[in-house]
Amino acid sequence: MIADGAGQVLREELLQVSEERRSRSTMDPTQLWRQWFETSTRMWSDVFGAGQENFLDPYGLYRQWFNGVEELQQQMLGAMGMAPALSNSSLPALGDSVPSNPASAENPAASANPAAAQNPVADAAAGQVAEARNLWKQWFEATQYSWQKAIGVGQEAVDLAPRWFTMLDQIRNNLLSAEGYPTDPLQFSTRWYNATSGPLSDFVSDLIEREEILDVSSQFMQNYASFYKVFRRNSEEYLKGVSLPVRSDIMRVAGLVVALEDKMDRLEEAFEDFEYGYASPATAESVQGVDERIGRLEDSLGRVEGGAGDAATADSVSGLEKRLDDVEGKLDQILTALQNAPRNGSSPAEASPQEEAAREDEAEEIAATAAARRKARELGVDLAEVEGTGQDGQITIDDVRRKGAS
Amino acid sequence: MAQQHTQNGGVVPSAAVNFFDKYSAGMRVVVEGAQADTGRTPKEVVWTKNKAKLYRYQPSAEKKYPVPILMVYALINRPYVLDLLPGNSFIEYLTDQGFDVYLLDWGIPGDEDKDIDFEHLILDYLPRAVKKVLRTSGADELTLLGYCMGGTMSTMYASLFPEKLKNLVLLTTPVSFPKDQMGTYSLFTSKKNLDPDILADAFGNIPGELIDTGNRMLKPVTNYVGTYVNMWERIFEDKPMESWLAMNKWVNDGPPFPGAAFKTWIKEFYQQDKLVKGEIQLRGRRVDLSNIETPLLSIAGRKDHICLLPQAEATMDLVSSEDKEFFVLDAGHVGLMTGRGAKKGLWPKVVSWLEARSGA
Repeated sequence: MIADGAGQVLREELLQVSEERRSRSTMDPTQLWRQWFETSTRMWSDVFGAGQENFLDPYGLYRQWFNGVEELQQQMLGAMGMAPALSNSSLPALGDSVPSNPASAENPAASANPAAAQNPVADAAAGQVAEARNLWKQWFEATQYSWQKAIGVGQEAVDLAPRWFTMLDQIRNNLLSAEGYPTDPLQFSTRWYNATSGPLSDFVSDLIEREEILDVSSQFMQNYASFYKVFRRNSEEYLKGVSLPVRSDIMRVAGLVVALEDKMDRLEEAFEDFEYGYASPATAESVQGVDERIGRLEDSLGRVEGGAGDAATADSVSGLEKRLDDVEGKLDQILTALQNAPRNGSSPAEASPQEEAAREDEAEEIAATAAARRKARELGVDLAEVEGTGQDGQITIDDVRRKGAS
Repeated sequence: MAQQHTQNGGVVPSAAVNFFDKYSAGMRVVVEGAQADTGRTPKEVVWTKNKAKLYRYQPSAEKKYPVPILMVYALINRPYVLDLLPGNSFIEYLTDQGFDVYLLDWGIPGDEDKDIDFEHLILDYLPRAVKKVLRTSGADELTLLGYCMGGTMSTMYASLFPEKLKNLVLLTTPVSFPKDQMGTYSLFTSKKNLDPDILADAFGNIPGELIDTGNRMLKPVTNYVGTYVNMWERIFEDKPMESWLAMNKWVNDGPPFPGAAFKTWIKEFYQQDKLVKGEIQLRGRRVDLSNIETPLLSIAGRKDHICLLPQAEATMDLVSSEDKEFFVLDAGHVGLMTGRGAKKGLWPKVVSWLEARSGA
């Protein structure tokens, strides 16, 4: 009875370990690999009836590998002064159609040991085994379902059958061509991979190039994208309802910061051209003008910084957006002033083709700052209807705002 | 037999302890992802724009060649593959040989960058970066070196702004996208199977994992399983792991692809093959590859399944350069750039070609 009670504890713990591990998204990929191979083999065998099962016995090496691992575990557990806790029944069952592990007959003593219930190493090892079984089941179901879905067990499967058997043949030849049996799990895995990867790779390539598979994948991707979009929109609407800034708010402000930085970069470029190139001497007035504008810009940046310090709410994000807008407008003015300055002092021959092209573009369009254009797009204002109050009648962001408000 | 005592007085054979140590080391990589200290060649940031950064490598090292090299990377994956680890770094190799090396890293786009398209990258970012390189190095001309899609962008830049360009070096650079010669990739990217509008509309930027999955599915067995078989083998046979970890970190570190650029890349390049037809327009300016007259070296890999040979070779017939060479290595898309093969193949080839053309 005591032993039974302990056995129950062990089983429960195994279950816990198994649940806990399953929540992780990944596992030993070589194990997945073997499972995939076996699952596929079994599915195909099912398609063609039990008679085809003996076409290839991929489980031979698999059993050998498990025997190797089991020996190691037993060796370890034995050395720790306890009977082997891992019964053969807790090794992954390879499905009903597969003969049970021959080692089980030789090892009747391998039943749950009370001592093992308190041993974390044994728990973990047994947990892994239980987990492998669970995963294998899930994998089998998922794989079988998706394969059936993708190609439909029927005509399509029959079409692929010769290809599948060619692959099995290649694998068998590869496995048999190796000398001797692998002696440790690693050697086994590597040999298994080397023997199967080439033929299976070819088979998978053929498979994923099939219309049926591509159609399903493409459909899946589109469904997923649509689902993602709907989900995102709903969450945004919900969060807006409780006045929290959402991703699109942050994105809008971040976009403004990027635009601002872009202006700074162009300013820097204009200064560099000034410094390295064909600059006309700056007059006292122009320097003073720039100075004043930079002063105002610094004030604005200070205010933006102050605003950013507050806790983010939807309102504060809008406030920040407005301030960034102002700063961008001011930068725009400085930029225009700077770009005009060296242009007046240089001959057309010194301008780069890029600048010339830009100027030609500008000449055809209405004179407006970049910030004003963006604002106009945002507010749906037609620039042709806006009266510019900037330099040479250039439309500024404030002009667009006034027009938008009227 | 070596043994280790346990807390409860039992003894574990050291072979078993060793086995479980190695097993847990491997599982940590599988579960947590590979960690490696990549990109260690000393560098300084010369210029930034939005998320992009322009680096200059080993600025204080002696420069033997006056013509600087500007490397342009792709929008897929991160550029530290060019400077993976000390001793396994193309950038370190070049700077050690006396080249003044710059790298334009596009950075990791944020949600606000979803509208970035090739016109921004080629007409706004690249010309500024070129100007910065020339000013920082005090040179009049430079070598533009593009890797993969970065090469495609460099080619477009070279056709529009040939003035300051001394040389153009393209590594595994697709220029042509013939459906009948691109194998699985043409199926993955065909109009029927891939609608970039739906993806860009839903995600804004296309997640790196999605792009990565597409690339890995070209060789699913090798990429999803072979990589890890290789890892276990290295761990259990006590082979050095650093390069494997660095490569694995890089492979799993794909940044998102700006939505607008993704739409253009799939539609105008993969689906409509517009570049070779001279139909790509950037803000109304036609990209005509026959404008390229600079010396050109294009290197491709015979085993490359991402940029196939004919895709790279097409450049040779489209440019007007008299001094041009197409060089094929027996390597894959990434193997060409890193590892033992690269040290004997690609790196010395680039150096020997550039030596004569870098004004020394």
